[in-house]
Amino acid sequence: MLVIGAEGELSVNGGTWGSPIWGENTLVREVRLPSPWDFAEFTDRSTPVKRYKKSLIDVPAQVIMRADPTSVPYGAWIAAALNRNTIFDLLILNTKRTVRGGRGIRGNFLVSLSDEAQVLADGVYTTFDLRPTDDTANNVIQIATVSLADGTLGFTSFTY
Amino acid sequence: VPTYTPTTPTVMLCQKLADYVRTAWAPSAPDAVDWDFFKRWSNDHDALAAERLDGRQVLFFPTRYGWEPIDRASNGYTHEVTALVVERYADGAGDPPREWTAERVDFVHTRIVAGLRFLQTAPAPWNADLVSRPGAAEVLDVSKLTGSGRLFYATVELEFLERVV
Repeated sequence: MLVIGAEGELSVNGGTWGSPIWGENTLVREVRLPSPWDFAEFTDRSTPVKRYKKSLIDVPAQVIMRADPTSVPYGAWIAAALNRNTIFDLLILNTKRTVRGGRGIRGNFLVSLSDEAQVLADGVYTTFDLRPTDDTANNVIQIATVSLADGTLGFTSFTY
Repeated sequence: VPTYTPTTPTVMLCQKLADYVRTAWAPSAPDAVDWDFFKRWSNDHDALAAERLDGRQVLFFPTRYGWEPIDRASNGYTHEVTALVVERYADGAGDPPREWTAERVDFVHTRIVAGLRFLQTAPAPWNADLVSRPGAAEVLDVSKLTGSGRLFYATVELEFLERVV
C-alpha cells in the first residue's frame, strides 16, 4: 500500500483525554513527525565496541497549514500559538484513523508559530512547531496505532 | 441544441470572466463579450450579421488547466485562459491611425490585464478562492492590422489559481 501525505490525519481532541472526540484539521498541507531517541553511551572495558542505550525521546512535530483567515480551526491554532499555556491534545497519523495499520502519535502539545512566508503571487502557509508537554506523564505522548486486526484506534504509553 | 451548463472549473471561469468584463465595460451592440472554445467569422461583407465581425469583440477561451493538492481537503486548479480582443478597422481607406490602435491597446490593458488582476486588489467578489497568476499579453498582431482584414487582434494569456473543494 502506498500512503501519500494527503491521506494522513491530524486531529485535535475536542473531548477529554479519556473520551476523545477527534476533529480532523484539513487545512494541513504538510506534517513532519520525527521521534528520534538520544543515545547514551554505556561503555566498559569488556569490549572495545562502543555501546549505547536509549535515554530520551524527542517528538518535535511540525505542521504546515494553509492560512485561511475565515477558518475557525485555523484561528484556534493561531490563538494557541500566541497563548503561552494553551495545550492541544493531538492525534497525528500517517493515514486516516480508520485505515488498518495506520500509525503515529497522540499527545498534549504546545504550539509555536515558527514561519509564515508571504511570497508574492503564491498562497500563504503557516508553519507551526509542536513540542510535547503536560504534568501527567502518561498523557504526554502515546504511540497511536490503528489495529490491523479490527481497525480500531489504540494508544500505548512508552514504558521504561 | 438544448441548453447545457458546463461544470469544468476552467470553462465556468471563462463564463464568469465574460460576465465580469461585460458588466464592467457595458458594451453597446455590436460590441460584445463572450466565451467560447473557438470562433469563426466570415470575411464576406454580405454574410449574415451573426457571422460578420462587427464592432469590438472580446472572447475568453479556456486553454489549459492543471491541478495539484493544496491541502488535505482541496485542490488548487491552475486555469489558463486566452482572452482575445478583435475589431475591424472600417473607418476609412489605408492603415488605421496610431490613435485608433492605441485606444484598443489601452482597452486590453484596462479591461483584461488590470481589470482581471485579482491579486494586488481584493479577489473578485464572486470567488474569494480565486487569484490571478502572472500573465503575458501580445500587444497586437501587426500582420493582421496591416493585412487586408485590417484587424486589431490582441491576445492575453491569463492564468488563475483557484481553490476547488
